[in-house]
Amino acid sequence: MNWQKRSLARRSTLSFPAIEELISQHEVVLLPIVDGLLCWRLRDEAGLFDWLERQHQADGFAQARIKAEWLARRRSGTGGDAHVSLPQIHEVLSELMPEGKITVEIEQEAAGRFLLPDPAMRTLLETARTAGRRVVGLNVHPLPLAYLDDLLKQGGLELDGLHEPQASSDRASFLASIAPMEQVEPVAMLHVGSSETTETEAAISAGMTALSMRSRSEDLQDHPPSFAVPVEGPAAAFIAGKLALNTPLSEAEETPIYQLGYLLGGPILLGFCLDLMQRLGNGGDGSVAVSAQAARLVKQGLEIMGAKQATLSRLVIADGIGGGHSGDGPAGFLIDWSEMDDTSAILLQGSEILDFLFSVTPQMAGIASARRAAGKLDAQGGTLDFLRHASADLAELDADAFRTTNRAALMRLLMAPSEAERSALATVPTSQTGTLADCVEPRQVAANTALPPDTELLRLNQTLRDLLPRDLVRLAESGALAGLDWRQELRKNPFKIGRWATLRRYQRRLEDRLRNRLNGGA
Amino acid sequence: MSEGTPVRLAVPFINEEMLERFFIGNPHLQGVDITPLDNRERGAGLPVLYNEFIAANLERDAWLFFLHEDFEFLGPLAELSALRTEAVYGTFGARLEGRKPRMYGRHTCSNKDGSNARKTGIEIAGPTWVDTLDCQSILLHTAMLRARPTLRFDEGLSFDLYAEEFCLNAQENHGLPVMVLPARFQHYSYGRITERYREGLAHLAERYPDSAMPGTCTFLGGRAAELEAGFTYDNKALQAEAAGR
Repeated sequence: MNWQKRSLARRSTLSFPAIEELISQHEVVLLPIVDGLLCWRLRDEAGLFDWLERQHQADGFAQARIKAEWLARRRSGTGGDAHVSLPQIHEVLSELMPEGKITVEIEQEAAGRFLLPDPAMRTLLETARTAGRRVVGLNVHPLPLAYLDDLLKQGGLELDGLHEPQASSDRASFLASIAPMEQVEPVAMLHVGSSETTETEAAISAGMTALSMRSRSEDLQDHPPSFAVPVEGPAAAFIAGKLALNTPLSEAEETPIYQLGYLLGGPILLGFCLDLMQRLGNGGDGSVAVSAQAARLVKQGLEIMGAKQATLSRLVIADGIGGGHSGDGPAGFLIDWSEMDDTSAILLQGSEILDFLFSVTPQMAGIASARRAAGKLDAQGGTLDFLRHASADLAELDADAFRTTNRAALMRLLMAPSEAERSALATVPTSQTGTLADCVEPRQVAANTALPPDTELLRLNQTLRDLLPRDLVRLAESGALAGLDWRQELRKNPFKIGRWATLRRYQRRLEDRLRNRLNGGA
Repeated sequence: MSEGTPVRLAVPFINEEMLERFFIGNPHLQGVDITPLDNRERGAGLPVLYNEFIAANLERDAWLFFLHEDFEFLGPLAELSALRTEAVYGTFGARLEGRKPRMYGRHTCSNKDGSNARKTGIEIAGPTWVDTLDCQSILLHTAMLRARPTLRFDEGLSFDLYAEEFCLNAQENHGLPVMVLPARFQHYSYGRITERYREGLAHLAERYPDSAMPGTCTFLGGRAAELEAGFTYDNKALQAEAAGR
């Protein structure tokens, strides 16, 4: 069974064969157009309002737009159930924001850019067609039906009929009016609607069979895949939208490491390339240095994003600073070495993950090398796929917004990884015994599972030997390690990033173990 | 628009000295039509007094401005001629932004004797939409009220939450916006959370079971608990209630 069918099953809580069976029992299948056949390639519709607010520098638009629709739907006294048009909403909006810059036309045009066919609903449509059923689209969204019809056709979604309610009429009377228009008995119609109880009840009251189906946006919010962006804002909405169009990411048909590349590596590389294009594309004759480790991926990224040859030629490959970290590449863009606040210090914990995503494949011997190389191929494939999927929308993107979102995404991964994310990172070795999972916060150990002190000491020794650079191991053996503080090391040797970052990680581990032991003894 | 429309201030009072000082003798209100509503003996709930005032003025176009006796204008009345009549106006209100309520309408808030005065609310330059208004002041046009006989103050409430209820009614059942107007004023009350206030909250929850709105002191409506999960009000009224327990 392909992922689209699995997605339909999860969203409806019926198995796909049961959905097929339902379709076969009815003559007409009614499908929602917006948040149905067409899904938002933003987090949800509110993401569109955020985007418009930012694009047009219209402070307060997003919140006022939501309030305006809420009020408009109540203006006819139907308790919020009235069908309203975009002009009706904007009339209320003009009362809330008299100086508003965003018109009906601007919003409609923007909605068209961000509404694309939902692959799972396309499968449902094709299933009904194959069964010889009539498929009719219903519009209860404020966008005009003729406009949505064009979008459906552009997306290759041909329907047998389209209906929308009369202005200000409620949902129940709308559904009751469909059977006469379709010239079938209500009982012969299968209504595929949203998860709202009122909608399901209205369909049942109209005599139809109601199949409740959550939208793509709802499904992604309820079942976020590993490495999904947890924060709000235009860049997060954009990333979630790309995800919405590439459902396999949430269906485990790609490897978790591909997801890491797609959802973390892709947005980071995109933000960096946007910044590069901005810096190199403004007619100046300067150049930008990129570390040798990251140069190949950055160049590929710029090519995917349509950077001109002149831009590419001004990219200078330089040795990375900071003990091999990609200081001048995407990782450097994400973590500004000069702003060493607590956030940056925490983000540095993730520098190995960033190196894995953006640097060339390291030369390692044996099986681990093969595993890591394979993982890297997946990760970098995901990273570049994200850029390929995003490249059509570059005009709207803002490097700074991506930087902020990416920092928050990496921070969340480092501080609160899910079990699936930890497991995925644990498949990538970084040393003979270490893995990328060592970068993220230690698993919370229950109080009664604290290790006995002897075993603890052995493990601690082993960890030291495995993870610390040789000079730190020597310090440990001489007893001087306990007297070091990573902050002092940072101040003394700011460019010895590997040294003080490792020291910091080591000290955090000690603290965690101590805490666990104390918990165990309590 | 309401050019040339008269403005009538309705001020229920039990403290004549406050009425005299803040309204009758207020230099910013000279020549303004003020109707004192003496509630000393009657002790009626304010919604009853307000609805009577509406009924008495409904036939002719006018702005009806309902004000508490402890409300002092520190500047002239706002210019009303450019305002749409189809909205509910006040001088202080709450709007939910994200999960946090924000208060609009900068003013001075103090004890009854003027002590412990402090500035509160966000400064606004023009009419600003909010979710609900505070009871201290509410401005309505009779044309709006004439067209909507069901839009009246809820007499099931007495001294609290009737402005908030009016805002919920205006929005939920009539789709009308609620706005705060810029004004210079002082409110000689921090408000109190009493058992009566709690009963008022329960009344609102019952009347608007699907609503969740911010008020200036607490969340309101049947789904208020959903908002309370994300934010806790921190104000003097709640602190006073906690101290009194």
